[in-house]
Amino acid sequence: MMWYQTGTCLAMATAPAALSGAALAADPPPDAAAVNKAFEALKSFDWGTDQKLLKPIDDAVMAAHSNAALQRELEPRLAAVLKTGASRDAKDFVCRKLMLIGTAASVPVLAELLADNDHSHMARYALERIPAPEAASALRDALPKLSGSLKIGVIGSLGVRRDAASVSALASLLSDADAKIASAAMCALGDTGNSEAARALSACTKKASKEVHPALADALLVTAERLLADGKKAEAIAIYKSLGGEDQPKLIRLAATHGLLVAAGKKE
Amino acid sequence: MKQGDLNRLAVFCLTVCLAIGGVAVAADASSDDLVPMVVNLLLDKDRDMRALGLQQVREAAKGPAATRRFVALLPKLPPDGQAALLDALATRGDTTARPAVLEMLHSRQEAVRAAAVRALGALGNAADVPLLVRTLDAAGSEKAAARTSLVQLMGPDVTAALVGQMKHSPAETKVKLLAVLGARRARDTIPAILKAALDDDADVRTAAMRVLGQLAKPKHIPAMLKGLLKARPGPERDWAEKAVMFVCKRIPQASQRARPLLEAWKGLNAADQVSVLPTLGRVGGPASLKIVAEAIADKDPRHHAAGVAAICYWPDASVAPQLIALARSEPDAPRRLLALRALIRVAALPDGRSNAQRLVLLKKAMSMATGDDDRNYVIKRANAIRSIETLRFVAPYLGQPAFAQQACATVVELAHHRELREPNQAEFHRALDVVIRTSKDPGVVDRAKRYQRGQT
Repeated sequence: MMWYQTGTCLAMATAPAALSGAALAADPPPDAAAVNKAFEALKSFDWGTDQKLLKPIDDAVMAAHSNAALQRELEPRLAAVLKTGASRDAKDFVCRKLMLIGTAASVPVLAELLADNDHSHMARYALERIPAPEAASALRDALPKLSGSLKIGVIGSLGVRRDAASVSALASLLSDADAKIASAAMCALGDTGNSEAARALSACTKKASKEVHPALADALLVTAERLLADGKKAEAIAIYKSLGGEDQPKLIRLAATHGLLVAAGKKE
Repeated sequence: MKQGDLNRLAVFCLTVCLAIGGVAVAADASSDDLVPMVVNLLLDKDRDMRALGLQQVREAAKGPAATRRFVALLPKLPPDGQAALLDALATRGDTTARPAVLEMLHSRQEAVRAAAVRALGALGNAADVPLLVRTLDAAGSEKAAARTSLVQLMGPDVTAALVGQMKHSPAETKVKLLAVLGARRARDTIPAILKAALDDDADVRTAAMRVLGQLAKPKHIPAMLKGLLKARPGPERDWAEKAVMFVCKRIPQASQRARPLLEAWKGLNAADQVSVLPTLGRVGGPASLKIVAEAIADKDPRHHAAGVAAICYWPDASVAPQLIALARSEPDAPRRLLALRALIRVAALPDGRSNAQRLVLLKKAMSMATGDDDRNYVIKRANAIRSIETLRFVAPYLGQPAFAQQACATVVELAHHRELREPNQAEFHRALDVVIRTSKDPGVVDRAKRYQRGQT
């Protein structure tokens, strides 16, 4: 018996939510029939239709945050919508909900959307935020299969996840013939911002084409900032010093000098 | 050891620990590397690099030791660098820099001296007041900087020092110091300001009354009336009356606003009571109206004139019947005109009456107006009554050359209010078409065109 098929299970599911916080307690528990109706409405949903129709699903997702049983039942039902011929907007809505309550279980179906021009963006939106390492793996695995803007998007998502395991995959793209791909990989490594990413970026400074210099400098500055925040002052200073030379544009030198000042003012 | 002793020991230990910690933090406030880097940047040839250093002076590299290093650079910098560093030191707020700032006041460069004066506002103390007061009479940018610094200067003795300076300053300086006290909201100096309101110099009295208008409380009104009575008729008296009115208007309950003034008024001799009548009129209220009405009815021409002046200053339209009567039957022509103009003014005031009531009174004033200036004044005041009926009242004047320009301005002002314009789009469009054809003011024409396009 599914929770949304009976009111009893739903009431049980929302009880801990009531205990966990006044705000959640103030929300009435989602009504099972209303949730069913909302899933029906989702089949023909687009952003022009009344948003209130889907509110029971929103409420259920909120309640699922503090109830594992509810989450386990709601997630596959949402993921199942992604396998149907539901509208783009309906799948968009589902990805937004899976971003909130998705687990490794939703990763395969989301990963399938990465190569889809219409849905790749929202699938990444969910995969960027699902904490399971499987989400990062799925993004990494998709890299060789993609090209153009879809690939750039996935590279960006790996950066957003700051996934240390993806550094070597991203580093291999630094010398990509497509400058946009190489630049995206630089930015993603900058966002990752660990020592390995710093080494990968520093290693390509001499061979990088002029076209990617701005992205590389920016990535190095971001990396240095992240290293400094993580207490790796010496590594950060080394990067800032490397960017302070007369060969660098003035804006970069100013940023690097500012970084050095911040580093100097920071205790080890 | 007793429990009390143990507690005292614990408090002592905690205090010592905190003190040691505080010293450690102060000494270690900036790392060893940072200050030399900032010093190098401040000496850099590149302006943007220097800006980075100045940012650090303002926000980072804390502690008096660092401040001393930065201050030591001042003599080595070019004038623009000195001024920039002085500004940064002011923002840094470490008073360790004060002696060096005082040194820079002797610079040959005006920009540097002005920056030093500005910096004193943040870093100085009461001892700097005489110097800053002297600088109020300097030329150029130092003068403005001194005024700003006197307003900004912190410390418990600063306002007392300012009042002390006022005692033996020339009138021109006293006026400036009074403005400084006003800007500082120095309520503790109100007794000194009240004294200045009785000064022999009219400018000092006016400045004092202006500041009292901002700072004084109802309890100061009796003393303020002394200043008001000393004020010469004309602009000085106007300012004094307004100052008393501002104090009364700050009383939250409308029904109580005239009370302190009336109480003070009762304590005056008969001649002074007549002089204060216009002020009663500015504050308004039923109790004041009774006194003013009696004065208007008085056969003594001085009382009558003061009563008419008082009612013409009234802050709302409750006196409209009296103003209509005066505008019709006052024997003195200038006072008749004064009453009519007051009627036009109060008719449109937003004092709780409906738009319809306000417009009816304004139309009444229009029917009583005898000159084109007064009619144009009516059309001008109509812009305060935001209703479609007002547009219908004003629109016919668009076609009359003597009133067309003022009518254009009023129509555009009414059209400015979207909530009025949009539900009555067709009527406004017709009126704005005429405005665009008629107005000689490019600003009015531009606004009319924009409102026709639905813009703001």
